[in-house]
Amino acid sequence: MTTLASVPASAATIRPVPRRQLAWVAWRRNRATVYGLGALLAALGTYLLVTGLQVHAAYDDLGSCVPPITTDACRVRWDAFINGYGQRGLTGPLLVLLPGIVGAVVGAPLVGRELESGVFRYSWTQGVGRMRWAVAVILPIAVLTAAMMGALGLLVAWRNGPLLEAGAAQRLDGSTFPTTGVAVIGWTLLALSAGVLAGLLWRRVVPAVASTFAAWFGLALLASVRRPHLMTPLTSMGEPPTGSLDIANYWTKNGAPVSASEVSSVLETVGVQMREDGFSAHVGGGSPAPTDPIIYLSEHGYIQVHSYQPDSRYWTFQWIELSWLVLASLVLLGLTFWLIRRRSI
Amino acid sequence: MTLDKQVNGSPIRLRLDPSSGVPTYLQLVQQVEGALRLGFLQPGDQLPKVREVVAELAINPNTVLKAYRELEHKGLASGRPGTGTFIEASLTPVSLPELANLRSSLYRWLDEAAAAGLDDDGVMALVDSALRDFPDRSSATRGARQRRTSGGGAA
Amino acid sequence: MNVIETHDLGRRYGATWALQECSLTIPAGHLTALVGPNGAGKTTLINLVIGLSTPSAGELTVLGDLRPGSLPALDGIGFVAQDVPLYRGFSVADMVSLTRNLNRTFDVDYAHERLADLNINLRRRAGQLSGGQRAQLALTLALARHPRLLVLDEPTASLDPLARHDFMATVMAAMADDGVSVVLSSHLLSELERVADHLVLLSDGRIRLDGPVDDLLAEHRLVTTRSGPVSTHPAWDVVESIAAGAQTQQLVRLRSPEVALPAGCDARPVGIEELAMAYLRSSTRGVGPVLEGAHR
Repeated sequence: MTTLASVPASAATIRPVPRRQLAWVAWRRNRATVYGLGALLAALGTYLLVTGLQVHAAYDDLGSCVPPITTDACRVRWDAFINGYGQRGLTGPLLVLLPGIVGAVVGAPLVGRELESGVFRYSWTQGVGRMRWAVAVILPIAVLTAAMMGALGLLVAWRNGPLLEAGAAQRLDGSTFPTTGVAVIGWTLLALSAGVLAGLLWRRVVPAVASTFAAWFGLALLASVRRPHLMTPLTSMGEPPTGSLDIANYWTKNGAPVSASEVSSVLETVGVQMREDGFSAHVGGGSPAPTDPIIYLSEHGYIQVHSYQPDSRYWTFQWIELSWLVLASLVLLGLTFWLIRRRSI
Repeated sequence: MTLDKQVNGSPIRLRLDPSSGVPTYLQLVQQVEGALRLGFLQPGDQLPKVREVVAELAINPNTVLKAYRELEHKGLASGRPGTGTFIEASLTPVSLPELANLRSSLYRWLDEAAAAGLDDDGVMALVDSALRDFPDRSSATRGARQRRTSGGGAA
Repeated sequence: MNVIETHDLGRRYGATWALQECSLTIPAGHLTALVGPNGAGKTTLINLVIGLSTPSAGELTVLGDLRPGSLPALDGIGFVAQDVPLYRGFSVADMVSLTRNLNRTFDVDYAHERLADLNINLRRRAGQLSGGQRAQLALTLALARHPRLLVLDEPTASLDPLARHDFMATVMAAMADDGVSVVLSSHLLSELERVADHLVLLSDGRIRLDGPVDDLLAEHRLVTTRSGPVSTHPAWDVVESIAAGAQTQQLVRLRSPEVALPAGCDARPVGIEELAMAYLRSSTRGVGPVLEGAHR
């Protein structure tokens, strides 16, 4: 008879595959993604760095011509600054959507491609088993992607610095907040873990990416609407501090709410025009324009009441957001692992 | 079966005819016996290693082992563990007087068949069928007869 | 040791049973051919054995007493799937490294030696290899793990005859060298006689025939009778009857090996290919078997 290699009845102890080996698998399997992310980081990072330097330089040039604007000459220079660097154009929305895009595109193929191409019949029948395979293939790249987006978030915050300082933008603003600090890490993780789960459920990459991004986008919208109300807003009589997120405001006269048009017409009589970031005099008024329209209005009983979130709550909001995002991500990942374990073709 | 002029290993290489209808292991047995009859294999020669046969012909190693066991059973070969399978006896051809006897008894049978109305093709079909059934019933006697005629013994 | 042992094993998808009441004992040291038409349940059974599927009913153990899909079972079973899945973008060397890193034991020297013998360049991408080379690569990767059981799901389906021969030669050599047991699912009845010494025949999710080839051949005869077909007979069970003019040919299964055959009946042995074909014909309802085989 053919000689059989002596076989034990059952392998009582199986020593696990060394971590070093799984590390190689994690790297090689995601090598292309890492390179892609690196290229993205380099490209976007360079862009943010270059434009950031420009913004900082231009801001320094302004000197004292920052809001509140008092002279017309300063207003001209300030307007020029805002027109040059304040409008973020397309990059603003792009940066907000980026964690969702990156997360979905990186996450969906991790399991989805494996199932779509059928190569799981190879990888899930190797000695290491499908669970450790999944850990190696999913977790390191998830951490790396989130960290990378976090680094980009730092650059975004640095670039926005001057505008924030001048009060022309707020950190709590819905288009800025999720791209900076630790929230951006959370949003990336959420998109990625949703993508992994979607890839497992769809067993195809393209529908997984699309559905993940759509769901993520919906959640992001919802979050931006709910975010200002995470904590009870503060109210102020008159202008809130610089950098606050203005949630709502209304004029009052002697404590009772009045319409803004009423206030505007009062100002018209003294030749002052009301604007978002200040007031300006214009020719054609009756009496000479008062030097401080706010004082003039308050003398007449008009006070603007603001409901706002102060800038000082930025980090509190950031940690709150990160917490529930990470929690949701962990739930999604846990579900993914549980489904992988149970999967029976 | 082809001849191999290599110094080590077996003098013959086994082949396979997939369309012959003869079971694989039997083909191997017949090739070895044919080589013995024609003198290409002598007692002491080594049969091809199982691994080599299997790698070249893409057949099941158990089949090769079965063929070698059959040869052992017939007393023609014996396996030496760890070394291989070696020829133990030679198959001398049937002697002339025996051939003559067989031929005359065959003539008698052919007369009977002709009398019964069997034509040439019918004879061939009957012989073919009988040959196929024959190993089922008397392989033991045939084996014994072959062992008797192999007078050479191990060289 | 039994490499596969099942008891009333079944797998259901929705309301359809792809495999049912499957009770098998496959001993080690053999090449077991899994034969049957498409949809017979071969791949279903294989997926259960290698742990990609879980049973809907019954029990299944592999390599003695191991649970399929458990780490010791995964360790001891090598698998090459249909369509030979590999990472097409990986180089051959990468596939070797990947397989090495996904397993506890891996014989890198064996793998490199085999690939060199096959003239497969380590730097080529797996996707650029020919079908035959890809199949050989997958086989090499599986065998380098020195598994105790090698499971092959029609890996030669799309290979030309030469590539197929080389593939099977590698499998057989591994059996001779390593003592690995093989379970091979195949459409090719014509190669059964050469390669299989154990047969499992499936049709419509059920086992129709199962056992060592030698035993199966000893149990069956092709009986030619002048009279009409005899549906019941003390000596045998009829598998298939073919009427041809005045003669009737019947493939029968003897009730016992030493049964005395009636006088005047022409009974000859059958080959394994003929036997398999007959069982498949008789058990498939209406649809002709999609099988290749030499026809006499």
